[in-house]
Amino acid sequence: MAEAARTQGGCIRQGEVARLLMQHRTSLYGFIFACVHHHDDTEDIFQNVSVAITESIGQLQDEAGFLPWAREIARRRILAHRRTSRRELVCDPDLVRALAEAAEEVEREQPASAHRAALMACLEQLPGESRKLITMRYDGTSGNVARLASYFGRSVQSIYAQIKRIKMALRECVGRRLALEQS
Amino acid sequence: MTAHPEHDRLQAYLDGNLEADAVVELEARLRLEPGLAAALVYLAREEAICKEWASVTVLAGQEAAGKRIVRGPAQRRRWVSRQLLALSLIAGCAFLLLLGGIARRHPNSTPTQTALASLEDIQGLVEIISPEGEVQAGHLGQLLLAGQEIRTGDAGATTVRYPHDNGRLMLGSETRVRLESDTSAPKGTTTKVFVMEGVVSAEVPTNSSGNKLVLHNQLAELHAASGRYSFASLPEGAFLETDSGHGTFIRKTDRSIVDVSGGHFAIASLDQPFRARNVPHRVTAPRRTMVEGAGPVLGISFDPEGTKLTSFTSDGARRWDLSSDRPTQVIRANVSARLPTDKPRSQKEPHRPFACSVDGSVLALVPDEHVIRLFDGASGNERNSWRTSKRVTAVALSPDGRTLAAALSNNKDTQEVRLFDTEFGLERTILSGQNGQITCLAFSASGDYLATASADRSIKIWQVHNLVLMRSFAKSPVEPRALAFSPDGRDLAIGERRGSLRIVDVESGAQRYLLTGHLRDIWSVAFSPDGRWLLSGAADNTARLWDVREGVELTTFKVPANIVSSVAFSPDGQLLATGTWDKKVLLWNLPPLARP
Repeated sequence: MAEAARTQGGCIRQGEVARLLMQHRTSLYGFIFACVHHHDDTEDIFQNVSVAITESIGQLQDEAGFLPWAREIARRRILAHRRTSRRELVCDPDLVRALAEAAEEVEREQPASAHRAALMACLEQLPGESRKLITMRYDGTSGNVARLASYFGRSVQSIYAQIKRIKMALRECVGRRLALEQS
Repeated sequence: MTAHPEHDRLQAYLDGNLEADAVVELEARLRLEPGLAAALVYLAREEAICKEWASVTVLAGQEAAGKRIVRGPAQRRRWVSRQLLALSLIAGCAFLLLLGGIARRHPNSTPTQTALASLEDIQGLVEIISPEGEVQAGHLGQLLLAGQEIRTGDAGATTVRYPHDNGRLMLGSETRVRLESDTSAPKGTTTKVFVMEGVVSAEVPTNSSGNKLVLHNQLAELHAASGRYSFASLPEGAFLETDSGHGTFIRKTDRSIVDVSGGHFAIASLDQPFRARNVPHRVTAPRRTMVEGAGPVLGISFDPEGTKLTSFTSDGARRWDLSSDRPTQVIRANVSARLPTDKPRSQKEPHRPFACSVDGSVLALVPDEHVIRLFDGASGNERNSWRTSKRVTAVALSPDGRTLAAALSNNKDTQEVRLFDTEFGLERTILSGQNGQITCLAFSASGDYLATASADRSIKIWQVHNLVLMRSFAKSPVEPRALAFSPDGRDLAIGERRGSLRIVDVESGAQRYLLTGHLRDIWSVAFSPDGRWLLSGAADNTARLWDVREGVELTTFKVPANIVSSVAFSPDGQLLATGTWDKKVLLWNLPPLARP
């Protein structure tokens, strides 16, 4: 029995993978996006990372080590993707490593889960026009900012400025919420 | 994190709007300046969250269809699924008529804001949180605005009334919701609420205006018209039960949809099939009710013959003859500094200062946090006592009553469990290695193993004879609150905060079942003597009977408006006992479905 505890006790079950991936999705996706700057590439790489994690979860003994381990897998997949992607990706290995270290520091300073919960709540409070603009900017179906400018009947610079103002307000809202949580 | 001075430049870099020379220069700095790299990662994380939010947010009509760029198969599939969702929403809206807004304005509202609803029936702590984060106590009749949050405390509850259709939302304890205005629906026709935590029961009256209800959390949403619904936001999903009417339940992660009609429930989570199931059989009338009177019933134990029952409160124990309505014996712990109250001070920190051997020969009580007193079960006389400088957070007696396990904490060091020989007083100590206070202990039926559960969410099993750690389970997402070994010692039932109940294989550590149904913290679990059934009591006013072989719920025992703080089976398994926070012991017959 004691032997069994040593060999099996710390392993993470396959069934836990989905939960862990969902739990750390924001952090991993953000790191990948920081490297490749393109959501389609980020989605592809994240899918590859998810598959790799699912296949090799048995190697991980402790749930606490999941995020650094997954980030290392992501780092390698980003470099592999860079070699195979049709798009020219400018992220070089040194830069990816520097961003991986930065991601660890950011996570330590402010866990993604708290950041996500606060920003999600703030996004839900956006009034109609701002909500529409941010949704269309990010939902991937409405095209680039030029297309948004055409849709809203405004200039590209005006759309950029509006998005910047909304994101600044969101950042302030997140700061207030996190401060409230801490207090 | 505060905005970095070069935030705009970093955003332009992420957006692909920097000139090539500027990109080269910035990337060179990113390799060398950790602060700059961290700011970029933080910005990218924001982008990730905004994208995730946008992917589950449906806009009014998604009217830009003609201007969409559909770039690949995956996007095309998502676009089609959104069109279907939008169509279903539009079809639902066809049943709606415009509702009048509320003429009365909230005194603190801006001129353009109208109140959505008002507060009724406030019990305990109820707070209103403004979008800016200001917190104020809720008061009866208070008008509520879009964007405001309502939060109930441990024993709090309230009702939110929507005047446009006379619909009601009933918030249970420890529940937090945010009122939203649905921009995609005609003004005043939709009740939309984000359920951040807890349980909401909703009533949407049947009327000609065909109003719509939307309750949602991060992972699921309910769209419903007239009917009665219960929606619970779970740590990793959402629960919907439809009493009457018809609800469309949508899992946000993959946009799959389940219809949940009256008498059915469904759970949207990552690790369970998403489908509607029949609500288990319900029993509301106990066979017998015994009024304990002295305080919340924290524990119940039958004697080996099944003719007597012992109930535990924080000031002592009472023996009941099952044929009588009055206790036949009262054992007082004699220290009354902590008399029980009608409401839990905090459901997060239940007191479990009692234990009883299976043969009924020994009772252990912890009247003071630093004193353990041992009583003879037959005479009620004190046999022994121990005083310790550390706080006693949990106790358990081995089935034969020879070993008392006590969890001790001084809030600093690692938690320890001390084993006392109840006859001679000899002590042995286990350093549990658990960082959080140990909240419950359980001996296996053979007395060979002891399980310890800690507030740090870890659970460990120890061999009693040599104090060797036998198994350490991976930490659960939420704090364990109650433990019980199956009679054969192969399974361990773990009742957790927020209502999850797990059965794990002791030998392999594998989870056999995750039993879902309870909506609030589980307080107590017990296996039937033959190991076939599991009984659980929770703060959602129910006890539930589970089939351990099939992993399904058989029966829900509804207790009128109170916490089920303890549960037990009689030795022949035919009688079930539940102790409640309002000082009662309820006896129930084993339901016919569960009889052989």
